[in-house]
Amino acid sequence: MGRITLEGVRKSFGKYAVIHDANLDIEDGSFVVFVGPSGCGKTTLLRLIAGLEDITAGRILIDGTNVVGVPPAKRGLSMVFQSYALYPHMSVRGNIGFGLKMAGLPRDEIKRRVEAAAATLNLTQYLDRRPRELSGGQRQRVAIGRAIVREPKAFLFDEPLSNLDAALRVRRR
Amino acid sequence: MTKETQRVGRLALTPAVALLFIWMIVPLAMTIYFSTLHYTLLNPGTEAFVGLDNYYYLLTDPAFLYSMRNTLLLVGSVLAITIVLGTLIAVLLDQAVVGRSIVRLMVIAPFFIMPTVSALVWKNLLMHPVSGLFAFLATSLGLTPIDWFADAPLLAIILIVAWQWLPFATLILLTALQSLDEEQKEAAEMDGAGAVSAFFYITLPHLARPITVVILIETIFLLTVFAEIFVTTGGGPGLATTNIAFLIYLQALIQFDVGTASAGGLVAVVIANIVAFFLVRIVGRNLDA
Amino acid sequence: MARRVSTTHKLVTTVAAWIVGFVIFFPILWMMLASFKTELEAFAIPPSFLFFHWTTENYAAVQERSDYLHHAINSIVIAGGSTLIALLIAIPAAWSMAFAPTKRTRDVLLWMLSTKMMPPVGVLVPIYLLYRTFGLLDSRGGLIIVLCLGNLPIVVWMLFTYFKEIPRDILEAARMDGATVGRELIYVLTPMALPGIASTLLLNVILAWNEAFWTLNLSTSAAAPLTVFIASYSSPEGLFWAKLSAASTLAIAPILVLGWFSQRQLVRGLTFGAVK
Repeated sequence: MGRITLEGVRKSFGKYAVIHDANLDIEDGSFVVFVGPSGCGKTTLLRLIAGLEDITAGRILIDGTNVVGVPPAKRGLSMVFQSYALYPHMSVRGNIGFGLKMAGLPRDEIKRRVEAAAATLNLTQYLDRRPRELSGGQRQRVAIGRAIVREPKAFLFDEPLSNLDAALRVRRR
Repeated sequence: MTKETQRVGRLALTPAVALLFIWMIVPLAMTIYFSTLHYTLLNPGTEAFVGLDNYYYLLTDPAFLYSMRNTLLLVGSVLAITIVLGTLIAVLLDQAVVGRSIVRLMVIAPFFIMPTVSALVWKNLLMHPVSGLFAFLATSLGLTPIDWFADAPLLAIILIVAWQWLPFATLILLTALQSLDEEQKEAAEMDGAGAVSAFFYITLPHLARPITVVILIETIFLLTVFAEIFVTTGGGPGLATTNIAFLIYLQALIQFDVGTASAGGLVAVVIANIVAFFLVRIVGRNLDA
Repeated sequence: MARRVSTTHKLVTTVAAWIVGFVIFFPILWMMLASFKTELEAFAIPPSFLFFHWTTENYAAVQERSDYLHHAINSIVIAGGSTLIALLIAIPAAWSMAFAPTKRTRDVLLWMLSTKMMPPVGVLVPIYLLYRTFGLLDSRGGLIIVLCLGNLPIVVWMLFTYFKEIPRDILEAARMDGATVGRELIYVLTPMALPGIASTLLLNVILAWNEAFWTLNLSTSAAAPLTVFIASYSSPEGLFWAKLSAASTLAIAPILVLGWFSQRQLVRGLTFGAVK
């Protein structure tokens, strides 16, 4: 569950090659961080794994299956965006449960999972609030809640520390 | 973006593109085709190919040339009135005015009135030579009232149309004015510019681009003024208020001369396309910005 | 503005602005006043401004005429119908151009706008003949088609500008959450773009309501909206002025109200973004 392998992955935008020849083997349960100067392709790599961009060449394997061409929803991954990308018109409950709703889960199951995730993240009292009423830290937790509730094979975090201020960041790192 | 998204994107765009394409091509092709025929609905079955004869007769027809003159006068005058007055009113409304939103509503209102209603209000309530308000004002001042639609019909139409389009120009120019950097105005003031100089050296150049846009858009729509003429003068007296749009209408639906009307229609399309070319270029540049 | 404007300045500009506003609005005001006069007073010289016998008999007369209601319903059906159908076609199209753009997207958008710039007279003949052949003359459906296609470029354009303001990553989050494009549109894009969609709807209903070329030429009675109804009063019969004023006031009042709310959309929609 959750083993990700990159073989000879290349990504070019037109003539401009961003990812040259990426080979990576990430074991299930491991924690990997991509670091590098801005513009070096970290986000692009993440988006390729997520399925939000097509790769130009190579293979991406999740648990041994090549997922090139498979839409993001079917890859069993969850992503937390840099800006959190919460749905502004839905409550916290709606945000966290949206993926489960799209998967067609029955309503009580959705309710159960959402409330379990909210409890883990200390969000229970905010379940009926809208994103705009929350602080940055609370929004981050909602984004994480949205990711974990789908019980994905792997989590993708895009620039998770950039929204915290510097001191906090050094501590979290 | 993925290939899948691109594929769906193309699909999503297809209905709009297809419908607009058919909407444009089919009638246009038919117009071109008809314009090469001698085709009149009064004598169906006698259609005959006449090549460019319709164009020849049209372009040498004094009625057509007269209607072109009327069209140019109409468009030109309305442009002049709406832009000059529009600029002045926009500058006025940009100032500190108590109750500005109500004044704005009053100034904007004419644009939202149906052309048929506008035309009839002006014709009957204001311009009527006996019981219209203008006649009353004239006689109270000791002047003879003008019989607008008999003596100055084109001017009457120009006034009605200008009244309707003044809000459009004003609103556009006011919006543009409000994007004028406050600091520029203050710098000019520090440099010793009076109100009039500031207007000519700072405000007007800033408005040059919006004014161009207003000119182009108004021209495209003013070329086809129809309802106001239809409802007030029916093109008359004689051809005094017939513009090119009305002439084509007369030829098509009154004289049933499909061939000539099609030729005329195509001429109108060509003229509009020339103006549209410039407008699309400006819009395109803004899109890229 | 950080500085206070002198009171004299403010007074002068306020008075000037109000005079200008009043002069421009006057014909409408005059018409509304006439609608409350008796026919004799509407026709009378010297015309009275405020001190006349106010009556609502004209409005009663207009309401009684069943054909007024008939034309009003036509206006509502045609303006509403054409705009709603245009929205249905335009939302996916605008989505495509905003979130799945290709090299051609810009050109397609500009081309769509250019179809709006085509003078209707240029295609009057073929449309009229086609409609005659297919029995679409004087039909609500026929008018809905023409007005829908005529306004489609503006609807697409306006929605495009509103959609571009929506952050792309929220839609991608929906995709990660398993939404297909259709569900992305329904559950995420449309709710977020609702104000923009409402503004677009508003402006185009107004444009369709006031449209006076196709409605005058393609309908006579059965499907005729209010534009045609009012036009049928064009022969000067003074004794009908007060009633005409009442009918006209009823015809334009809803639009004036809607128009007030859609000023900004007017700039956005009709200048095709050439003015910010």
